[in-house]
Amino acid sequence: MQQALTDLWFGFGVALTPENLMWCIYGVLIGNLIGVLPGMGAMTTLSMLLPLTYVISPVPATLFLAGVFYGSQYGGAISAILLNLPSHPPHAVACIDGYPLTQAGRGGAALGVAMMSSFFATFVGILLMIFLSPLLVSVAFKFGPADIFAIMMVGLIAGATTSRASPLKGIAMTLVGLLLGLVGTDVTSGAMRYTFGVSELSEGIELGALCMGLFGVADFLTSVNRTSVSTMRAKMSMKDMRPTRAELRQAFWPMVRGTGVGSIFGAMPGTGPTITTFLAYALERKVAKDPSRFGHGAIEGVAAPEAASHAKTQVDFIPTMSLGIPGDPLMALLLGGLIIKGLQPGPQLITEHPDVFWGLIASFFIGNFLLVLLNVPLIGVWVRMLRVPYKYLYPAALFFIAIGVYSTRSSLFEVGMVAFIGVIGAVFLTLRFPIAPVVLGFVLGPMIEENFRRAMLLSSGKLQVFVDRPISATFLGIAALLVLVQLYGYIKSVRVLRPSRQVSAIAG
Amino acid sequence: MLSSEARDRVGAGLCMAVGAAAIVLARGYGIGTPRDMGAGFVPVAIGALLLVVGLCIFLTAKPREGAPSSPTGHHGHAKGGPDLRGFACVLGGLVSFMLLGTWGGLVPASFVSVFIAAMGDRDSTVRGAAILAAALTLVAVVVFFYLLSLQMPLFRWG
Repeated sequence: MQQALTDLWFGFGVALTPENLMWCIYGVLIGNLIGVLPGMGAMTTLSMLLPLTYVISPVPATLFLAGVFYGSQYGGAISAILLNLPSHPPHAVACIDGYPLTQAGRGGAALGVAMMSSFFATFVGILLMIFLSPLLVSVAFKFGPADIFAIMMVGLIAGATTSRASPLKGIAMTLVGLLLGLVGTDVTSGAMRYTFGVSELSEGIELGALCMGLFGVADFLTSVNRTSVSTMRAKMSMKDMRPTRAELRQAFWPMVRGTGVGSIFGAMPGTGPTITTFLAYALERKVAKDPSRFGHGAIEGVAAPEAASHAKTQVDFIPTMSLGIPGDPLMALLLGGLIIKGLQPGPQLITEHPDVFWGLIASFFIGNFLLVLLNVPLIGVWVRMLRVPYKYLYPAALFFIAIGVYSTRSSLFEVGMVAFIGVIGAVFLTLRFPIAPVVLGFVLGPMIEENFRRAMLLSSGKLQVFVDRPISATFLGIAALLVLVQLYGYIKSVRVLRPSRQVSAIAG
Repeated sequence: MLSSEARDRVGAGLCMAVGAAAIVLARGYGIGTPRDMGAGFVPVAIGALLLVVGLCIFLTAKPREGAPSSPTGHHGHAKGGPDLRGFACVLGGLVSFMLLGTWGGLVPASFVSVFIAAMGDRDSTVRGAAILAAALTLVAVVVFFYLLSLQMPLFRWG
């Protein structure tokens, strides 16, 4: 630990040099701005900015990219809560309770809570990262494909059952997401699946197109001319922007729990911020005294996932940097950026390039601090965005979506894709089927398949391997428990309804 | 428009159709054994699960007590089907962006797509939509094309 502190001090020295600091600030500012704009996700932004980093040296380049990354996370929460537009998949969960809060006029407060949770979680995450790095690396090695598969199953089931609709619908939507994730070239065999001969689909459906289509476009398709004007024009006073004492108190423990969930899962390879936010949300619903409040504006539903997401991101840098295993596509991009600069992520990164590693960690402190300073006073500005009449807001958002989605692959096909997915999303919305689980299934699908395949290969096709290995067995047990709890709750509600049916049958 | 029971049934039917389609389409990918999985193993498995779950939803569809929950938490949302004009204009905006991006360039694509999309709202005026379209086209050129090097020419002939 002594060593870690010394290294950290060194890191601050690196991060606070004028050049590095400047790039850190740029990254954070741009990231935040992009995160706020609906339709421009961190993936898109990072892809567009990556070439910029070719000309600057490794340390500022890393600081810059990382800054864009978590800057966009702060910004992403803003558009998710205020506009129901998650530009980053983990924020899909924040929409579920965040947007209803906005409609109730508490959008500013929700944002305040989100910021607070994010900062708290990031701080804890950084501390954990510093002191637990060696430990985490050794644990990560013990995870085999069967264990990772089991973890993902828990994530899927938790995600499927977080929706307000019946858990069956949640599972169905997760399965749809899984199928959508399979579209494209199968990595192992090279076969093209579900591409219908369309060459643009050979790389699969683009994540941004899926998210923006399901949430943004689908929402516009069903809302234009139908949103009630009053909620959009709610008068915002300064007082409304501060979370009330009661809300802060309500949000405290969810924030802590969310941080815990995020930190634990942050260390595990193969889990991304998306599952983590779903799990944190599911956990909050389970421990809540009144679960029915969720989905209609429960502040816990905003605090916990935001905390989990940020904690996870911070802790996730460790396996990414020290093992070279990215936890989600964004991390993969970051990794790619590092490799281009000639830095090989892996155990030797810490020893060979301590300035990059520790400078990065120090920059997290600086960057996050900057973000809070930046965003808290600006909450009023963001919220005023809502004052813009919907008839101007949605075409602008749609436009940003079109451009954003186009730039992911420099292909107009993606624009058509996002329109198509939007229609599908609109259909599901009208049928009251939950759409958030689709994103989860989509992100996890390929990884689940890969790990399942590997597990089967290693065990020569024996399914018992999932029960034999202790880690895998534990997680599958949790998954089974989740399913049983849902079944129990469902059977109970059916029993309650049955008597009234008999009554009406007799009466009518 | 549709009762909650009917909604469940239609949705379930859709799920079953998708699951069945997934299975049928995947049979050509080779299923293989658990030990030596073909490309079709997982797709068939998921498709089958979806079919089963869809069936369960269909069979358990029942009229729901109390106020129907809104899909994404919107209040005053989608009473009945979506509004046809809004729907068409939003889609039209995206499609026109696609078409004009290919045969016109960033500037016409931006302007026309925003204009069409904006006209979807019954409260919008031609003038308002045009101003918005012009403003956003400007943003596109300055921010996306110049600052962020978006890969689309401003004007493209043919």
